[in-house]
Amino acid sequence: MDPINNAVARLIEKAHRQSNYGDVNSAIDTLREALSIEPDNGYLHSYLAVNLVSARRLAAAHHEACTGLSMEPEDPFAHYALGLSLTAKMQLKKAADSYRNCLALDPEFAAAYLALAQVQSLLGQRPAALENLLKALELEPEDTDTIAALGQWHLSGGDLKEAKHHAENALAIEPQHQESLVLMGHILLRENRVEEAREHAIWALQMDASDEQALYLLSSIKARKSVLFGLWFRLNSWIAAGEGTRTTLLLVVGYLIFQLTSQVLEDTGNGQWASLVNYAWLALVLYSWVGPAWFHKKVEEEIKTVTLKPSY
Amino acid sequence: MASHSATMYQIIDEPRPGALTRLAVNPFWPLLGFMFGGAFFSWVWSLINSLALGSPTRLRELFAILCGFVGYFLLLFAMSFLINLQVFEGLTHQYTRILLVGFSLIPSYYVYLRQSAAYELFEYFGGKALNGIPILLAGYFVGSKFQLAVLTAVINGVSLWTR
Repeated sequence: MDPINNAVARLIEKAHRQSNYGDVNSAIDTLREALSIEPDNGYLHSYLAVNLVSARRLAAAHHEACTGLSMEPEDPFAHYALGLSLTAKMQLKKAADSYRNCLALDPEFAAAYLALAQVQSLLGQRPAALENLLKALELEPEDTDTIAALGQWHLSGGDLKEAKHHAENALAIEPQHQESLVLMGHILLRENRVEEAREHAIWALQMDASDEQALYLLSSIKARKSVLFGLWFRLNSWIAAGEGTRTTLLLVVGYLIFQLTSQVLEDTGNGQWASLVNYAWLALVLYSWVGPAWFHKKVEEEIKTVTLKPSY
Repeated sequence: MASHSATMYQIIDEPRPGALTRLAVNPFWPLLGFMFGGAFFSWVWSLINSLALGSPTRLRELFAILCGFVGYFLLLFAMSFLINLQVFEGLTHQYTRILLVGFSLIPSYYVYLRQSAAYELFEYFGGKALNGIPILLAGYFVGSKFQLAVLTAVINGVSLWTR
């Protein structure tokens, strides 16, 4: 093997290791280094895209996925990477097409079935999602990600018993599997076993302190424990869902509704109601200022109790 | 901390530092500048910050602010026109003020969201940001005068043109 290929292969291996340990930023740096040596390597661009999706750098991920695909149009992984970037951007129909293109090139690409099933679940196509989850499981019966996804499918359908069965199966194969721990946490939370759910969230965070799903579970538990937290958590989740433009418009529309209501009430001689609206707005402003700080403090206190695994 | 060398492959969303890099601030400060110095002050500061951060979305930010600026005056003139015509009973310049503030917040908040991502990467690559408080204080004293000067200049310009 020539020295350049050898160096790139070593860097790819290093990036795989870093990515598997959840150290996405280091994996991105390693892949950047590899691309500095071999900028025309399509696989490097696609793999960089996958890591950029994990780092939530979506515009860059999409750019890299497109570059990777333009260099290697017949590579199923390039289609898969593009699918991931489109899924992260919530362009679900296009993402599903990319996964189908991937599967047309390689019908045994189990991860693509899993990803396609997740997109179909988001699109509300539950039967098709189940079909693809079962195909993924057929190809890799011991794959804990797929088993956990199957459990998630049952949980979202309200079938706690079946969801629990899959979560237990996955944990029997891999006791420290994060998605399964988080899934079990959600199941326990639904069963109102809050303390056990908390333990599962903490357990998942021990493996990877930055795991979004585990942090979300922990926040859900905190939100469940307090009405005020819960209200803020749900309101914030609703406002922040989707793209930044939606958030901007929602906030501005809220502000305009308040200001115009107040002004109209003043102009129509309902000054006392206008004052009430103003006080309500002030309370909301104070709440949205103090609420998140308080909420973060509480979650942070919880996170501080986590002892990270030496491997993290 | 991550470091860049000149020969390193550059990912498109990474900041490209330039001559203004030392003026970079957390984008939260220009957004806060909206409250202290008004929309125009905040927009000018955001544009400078965009260049200072080397924000990869600087053209979109510039476009958003230009749209905001044009939209601001279109809204102002449209409201003045409606008030003068007395189309709606009770419509006053108080409503114009509210609508202008609400409208101006859109580009400000949009730019803030865009720059926040660039700022995180700017910090990740070891960039040092300025403390925004002195500029914010300056905005408090000169922002409203600046806003008034721009408003007067545009209104005078338009009235000369339409005379």
